[in-house]
Amino acid sequence: MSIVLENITKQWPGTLALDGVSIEIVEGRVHGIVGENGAGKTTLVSILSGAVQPTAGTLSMAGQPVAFENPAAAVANGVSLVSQEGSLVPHLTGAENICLGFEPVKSRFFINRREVQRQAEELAKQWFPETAIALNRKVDELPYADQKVIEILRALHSRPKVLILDEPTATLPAKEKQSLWTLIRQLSDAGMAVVLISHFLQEVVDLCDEITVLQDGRKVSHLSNAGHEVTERQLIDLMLNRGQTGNQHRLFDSALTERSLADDAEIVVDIKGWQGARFLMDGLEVRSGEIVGLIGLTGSGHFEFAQSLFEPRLATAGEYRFKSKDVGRASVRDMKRRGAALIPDHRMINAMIGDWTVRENMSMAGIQETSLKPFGVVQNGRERAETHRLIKRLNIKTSSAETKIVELSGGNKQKVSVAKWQFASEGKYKLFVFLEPTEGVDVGAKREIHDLIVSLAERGAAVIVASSDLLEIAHVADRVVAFRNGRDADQIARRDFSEAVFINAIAGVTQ
Amino acid sequence: MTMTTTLAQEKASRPMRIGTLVQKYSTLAVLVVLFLAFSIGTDRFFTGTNLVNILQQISMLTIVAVGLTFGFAAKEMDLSVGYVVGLAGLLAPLLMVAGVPIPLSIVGALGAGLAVGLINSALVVGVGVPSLIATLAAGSILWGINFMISGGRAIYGGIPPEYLAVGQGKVAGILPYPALIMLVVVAASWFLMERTTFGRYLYAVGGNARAAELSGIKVRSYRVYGLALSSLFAAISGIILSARLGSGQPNGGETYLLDGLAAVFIGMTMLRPGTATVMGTFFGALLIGIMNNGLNLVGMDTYVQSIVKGIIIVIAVSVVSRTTKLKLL
Repeated sequence: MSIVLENITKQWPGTLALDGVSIEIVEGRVHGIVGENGAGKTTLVSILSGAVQPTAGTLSMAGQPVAFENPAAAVANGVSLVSQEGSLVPHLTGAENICLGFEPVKSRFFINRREVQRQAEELAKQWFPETAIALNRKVDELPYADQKVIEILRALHSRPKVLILDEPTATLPAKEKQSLWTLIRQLSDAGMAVVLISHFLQEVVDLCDEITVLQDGRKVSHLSNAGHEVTERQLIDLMLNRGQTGNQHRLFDSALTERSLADDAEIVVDIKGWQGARFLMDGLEVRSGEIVGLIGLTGSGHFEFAQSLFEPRLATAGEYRFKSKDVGRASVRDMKRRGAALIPDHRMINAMIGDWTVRENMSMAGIQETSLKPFGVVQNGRERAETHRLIKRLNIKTSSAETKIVELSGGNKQKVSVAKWQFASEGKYKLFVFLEPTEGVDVGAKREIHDLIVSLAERGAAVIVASSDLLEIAHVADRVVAFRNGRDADQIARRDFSEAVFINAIAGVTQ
Repeated sequence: MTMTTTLAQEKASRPMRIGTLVQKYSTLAVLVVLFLAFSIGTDRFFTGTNLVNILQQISMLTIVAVGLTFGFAAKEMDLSVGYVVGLAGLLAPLLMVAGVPIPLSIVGALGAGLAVGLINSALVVGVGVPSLIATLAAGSILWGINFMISGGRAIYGGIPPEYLAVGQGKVAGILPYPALIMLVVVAASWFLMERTTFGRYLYAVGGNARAAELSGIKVRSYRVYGLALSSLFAAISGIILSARLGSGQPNGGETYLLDGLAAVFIGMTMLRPGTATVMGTFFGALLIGIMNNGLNLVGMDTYVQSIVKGIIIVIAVSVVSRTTKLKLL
């Protein structure tokens, strides 16, 4: 049975997660859905599995319109989800987890334990004949790979017609990946419709009969892959390319004038062999007045690396000198004192206090500067004056300084997040690290944020920008470091910037 | 898209603002209504003596509740305060009976309270035990200690009269010392929380610990401060209690936990809804005090008072939970 999504739109407060996406999921085929973080994959899966209701658009199965009010309704209609992580009850056995919610009973009340075990074993034998899993053991005693198998068996217990696998191989070792791939093929051969969400593009290309590419909540492409003609490189192009035309090799719009950098500009960041759990940077020097862009696919380590420049404790080895002084494993507080600032991604989680006003959020990092020492008596007048100065200077659109931060648009929230490091601290910070600086920011405000980033560099700060928006990087950066598989892989000078060069560097194709 | 987003947000926020207004002042309205009702209902309520009496009655509760407010601001709940009141209220008389000078006895009792706060925060911040559980366990331990050090009996006889004056004396023959201490504590705490960077940082830690950390605020330290102040204030209250009673009671102060929490919750409906504030807590304690006093004067039984109080807490917390995300753990 096929399931058709038509013009599905999901509006969250402040963000449009899905914008008129239409997808057809057909029985007996594997349908891959790819896109960068924030492209809308998770929202799409949530709608398909009944966890989230679309703002607009329709779902239909076998030509009949359906609405999944909750996950149980989706399961009842034959749609099962194997979610990304941890949907098992750790203290129940594998068999109990598989039958959870559908336990066979005896005497209308008591769980028939023997029958639970039998059903679970039968399912396991049917779909994973070569894997021996102790279904009678508590799942938290089992290895990840076995837990994944149990999660899949649980989804299969309700005999679904559509199976959604959200990043199923993310936590699996190589051998288990193989057996999962075999299973996916078996399922589709048996006539099931399979939806595969994955960051591993090679597996998408190998397994899927058709592939939908999402970008910023929109469907940018639907490819048929019946003869495995789609390449990984082609997918990366589609996921990242924000150009208006198909010309892959044109230069970016922005005039690529190179900013001149004084020869004697101070080296602010000096990195050697700097590594953490998920990144390794061989060497990087960033000078005062310079903007370095970091690019890579999701999970390639550039965000973790950028974050570690402000939180050196995230690193486990290597050398990091900040303004010629060894940083060691300094705390955030210490890095701030030395002159480093972070404008993090997911700003409402990492940068803002939702209950607070624009003024309170803006002064959070610098209020001691406008307060009376030694007891830190807040001087309301000075705090207000400084807030008003920054609201005006950064052109922040808010009805007043006392407006709650949640009432501002994404772009204006982001400006407050930047203003935080200028509050009575003009010129104090010598390094600004930006993570996804225009996440959830509309087009007009994007430009202003970019100008803001450039102006910070022009006033002598070293700036590092990690972003999945390549146009943004091309716009602001003086040079780019591309990450692949957790390592810095390529350096690109501004005169060589083009979408093709960026995408090649990210995908690991040399020209 | 931008336009529609902004419009949608405005539409959504407008009725909430009215709701917030109603919420902000509804508690105050209840306070005024209670005040008027008792004034009309009994001629013994609205008299100078009785109003001073109310201040005296709520003084210990208010100090405990203001202490809890520091913990709440940093999103830590302290369930051990009632037993810290008991501990300090026993220690000071015990030390004095043993011949220790008054100032040293008071410092000893306050020090013991502070020590409890530091042990609590070592468990919460150092080990990672949720404050609700750590302080619940601490309370149980303290209850046992209180009975152990007192032998289960009240401590009296040999407490110097100068000490008793702390609880029983009056400034210029009008304002009782406990009421004065309460007013000073409330004013100082208000200043600390609303007018210093200390208060701002404490609220930041409670508002969003990750954002506070990434802004360079010492998150762990402020969580310690919150729990330490909570215990210290309970100890202050315990000293007043023993001076007022003229004895140390092994189970004194136990009621202050629930009433203190009630005062904080009621306070959270006012001023900045969803946030514990010093003035809000003070009004909360005042509301409870007026209610207890008035119901007493009209001859209502204590168990009825308890029921009424419970209902008011439920209403207060319901009001807060409906419009804000009230998360305590």
